[in-house]
Amino acid sequence: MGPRALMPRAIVTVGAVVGTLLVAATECALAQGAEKITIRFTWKLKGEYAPLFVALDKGYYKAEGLDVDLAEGSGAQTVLKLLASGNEKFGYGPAVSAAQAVSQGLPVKVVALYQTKAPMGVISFPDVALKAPKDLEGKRLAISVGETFGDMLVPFCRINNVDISKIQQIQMDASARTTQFLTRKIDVMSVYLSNEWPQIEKRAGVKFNLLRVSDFGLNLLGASMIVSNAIAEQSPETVRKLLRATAQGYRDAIADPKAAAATMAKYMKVPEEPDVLERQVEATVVSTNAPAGKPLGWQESADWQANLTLLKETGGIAELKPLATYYSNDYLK
Amino acid sequence: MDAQSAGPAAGVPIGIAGVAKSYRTARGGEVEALAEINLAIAAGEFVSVVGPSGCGKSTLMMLISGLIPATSGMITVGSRPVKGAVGNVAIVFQRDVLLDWRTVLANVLLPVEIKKLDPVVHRQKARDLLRSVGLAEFEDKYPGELSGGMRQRVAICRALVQDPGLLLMDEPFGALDALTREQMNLDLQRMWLRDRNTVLFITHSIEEAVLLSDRVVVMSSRPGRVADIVVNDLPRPRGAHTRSEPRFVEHVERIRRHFLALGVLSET
Amino acid sequence: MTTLAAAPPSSPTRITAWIGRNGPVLAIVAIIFAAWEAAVVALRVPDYILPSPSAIAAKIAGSWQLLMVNAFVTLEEILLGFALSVAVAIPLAIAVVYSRIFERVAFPFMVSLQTIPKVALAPILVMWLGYGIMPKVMVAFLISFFPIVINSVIGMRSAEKEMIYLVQSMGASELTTFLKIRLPKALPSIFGGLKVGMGQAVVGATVGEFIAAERGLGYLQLISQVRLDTPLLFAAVVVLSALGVLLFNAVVLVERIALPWSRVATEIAE
Repeated sequence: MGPRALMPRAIVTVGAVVGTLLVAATECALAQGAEKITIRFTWKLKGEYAPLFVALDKGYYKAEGLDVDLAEGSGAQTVLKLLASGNEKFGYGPAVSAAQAVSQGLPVKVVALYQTKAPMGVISFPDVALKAPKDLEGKRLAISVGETFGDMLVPFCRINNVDISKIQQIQMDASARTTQFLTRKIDVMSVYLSNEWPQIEKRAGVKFNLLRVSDFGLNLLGASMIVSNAIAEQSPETVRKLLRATAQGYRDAIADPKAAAATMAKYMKVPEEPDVLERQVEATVVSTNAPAGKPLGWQESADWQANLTLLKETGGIAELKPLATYYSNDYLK
Repeated sequence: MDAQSAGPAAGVPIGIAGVAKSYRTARGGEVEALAEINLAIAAGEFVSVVGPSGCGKSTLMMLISGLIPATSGMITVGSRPVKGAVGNVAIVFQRDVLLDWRTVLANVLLPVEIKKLDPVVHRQKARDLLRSVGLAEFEDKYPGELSGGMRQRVAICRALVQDPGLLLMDEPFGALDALTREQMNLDLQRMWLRDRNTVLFITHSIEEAVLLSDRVVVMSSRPGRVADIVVNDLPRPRGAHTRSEPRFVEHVERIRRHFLALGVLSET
Repeated sequence: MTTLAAAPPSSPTRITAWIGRNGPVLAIVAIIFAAWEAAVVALRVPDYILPSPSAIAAKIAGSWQLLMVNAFVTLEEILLGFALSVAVAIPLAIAVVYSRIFERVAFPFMVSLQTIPKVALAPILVMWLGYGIMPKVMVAFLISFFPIVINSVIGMRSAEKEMIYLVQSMGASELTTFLKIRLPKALPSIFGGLKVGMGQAVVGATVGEFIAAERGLGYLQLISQVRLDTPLLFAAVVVLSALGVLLFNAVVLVERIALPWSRVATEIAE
């Protein structure tokens, strides 16, 4: 091919490159307006996260000038460490885990609490009686590392006058619990109503007996927004905007859980059964912390004190720090 | 470096004066491999070295090549003292060590590449050498496809393509079966008669040594010394018939008696 | 006197030859699948315990898009991790071969690194590297580079001393000796290391995904476990195995092209 034929090709190529660069630059400039944020969930997508997807889908974050990415995590421990190290800025998960992290000295805090009574329960097959905590005696209970109910078993039994020595605690890996339960190798198992409960019932095609722990005195802090102290100090306005938009998402989800489930389904790359998703969302919103006259997510020191005492009693935390290190309502105002 | 000609090579003389070699063992002791060796080899001479295992004949060869240093004494090759690897030397080991990943022809051309000799001229020479040993059709085959005898022939071609003034051969036919060995002896003689390089030929086989060489150096057991030098003036070209000649038998007997006396061979 | 056949028997076609070689294996596999299917149906095993082969096949067909998208994610991690391994392992091997000091210093580190279970290392990597592609690539790299180093070192040291003497007597420099002798001699061993390393990179990428991923076949396995979707779990495993086999054979293919003489040798052996 001679040099003359190369000329038009060269021009076109250079033009294409320059053009692409211009477009990219423009897009960058436009995107500069919105602040890019990632909210890192502590676990994989489940109905419990629906309110945030509603906020995303309906543009509440965008309206506050935030370009939010909702991302899955692989465990509360990991996410909290990433928050502490600055690799992540915003986390969303159990406040109990955050409390443990703060006690270990990690520079994080909870800025909004969405459940003062975590939707947790114990289930059994219909033929296994489970109406009151006393029914746990004589049963085989699955216990796993990092499983909240297992950690709280001692105070639960104390509060409800259950003889803990009569409960057969069987240690197993978290991934084995469900199959062991379904094959009747264990009698009772704890679940989150906003997560596993609808899934297992659907899979087994059975309606299980359910004991809600919050009905029996075990009130644990549930889903929360956790931030690194650094971001709270550097960009308090961003935190406020985020919480405002999230609260709006929550309100919409409370009003119409079915719609919230449908919205979330759009964002799930690995689809979940729609009815399971709906039940997860319903279980989530029914226990949302929205005290009258206060912003959604407002935290009461009494709740925190009670939880921290429980954690200290069970050995979940070694050292109690001042309350103000654990949480702050400043960003809800 | 010598001239890069492709014509018949001129052999170089070797001088070995008062050469000894000792090794330090792992336990800190010293092993004397070679006691004082004195030997003069004329240009174009074919000299064999026979001796029992461990007598240091391979060591002697490595000293001459310059690849290992002598502990004492001096070696000259082509009247230049040996300091480090000698340029004009080609070695043939008992193991053919052909490179599996090169074709037969590429193997023969290895020294040409490394020494940066004239590629065109030497390519033709390589092909001629291969043809002279009957391997012309195997140029593009890989060593893995050849038998032991064929591979050793390639190794010899590789040695000869460089027009070496000195050819060092350490039991080159030791791994071959008896019939192939006899054939290789005749092939080697033919090539040497054509090129007349200096050859130092190490072998265990007394018959082989007498068949091939002008002189046979008989070595004693460790530490190796020259026990005898047998001058061998049997007429050339030598062939299968030579083995039955009376003087051949005489030379062989003389060498064998040495080994009996040394206790290397025992008739009881 | 022998009677001649009317015509010489026709030589087997390539297909019948292929069937002859692989027939027994395929038959056994078919029998296993049939037995598995029958057992699941007869014993009414629920699919969250053990899905039947037909359920798994249906899942693979039904979720093909999902499986392929995630397979490509994992593939990218594997290839990047593997490429990094090769880029680090070969120079490391050269350094070990040419420097006694380096060997003495580096080897203990490499061996300790190898013996640390990567499952334990992965969360630390996530903490340092965040949730992007890097932790998976790093785990794949950390698991796969050691076999490559070891095999390369063995290969580079495998040149017989006569070979080295030979080229030294020809006046070859250290570099020439390396390029013309040690390196080509090492290639079969290096490829052995690459084959093992590739398998390890697959494991590494998957383990990395278990610890920190939002996509990929390992991630799918995790999700399907959480959701009790065991057919999807098996489907992801099947696709992952197929991916592993494919990659392994890719290395074998490259080896055949790079080392034509080794095929010649095996042909003669047959």
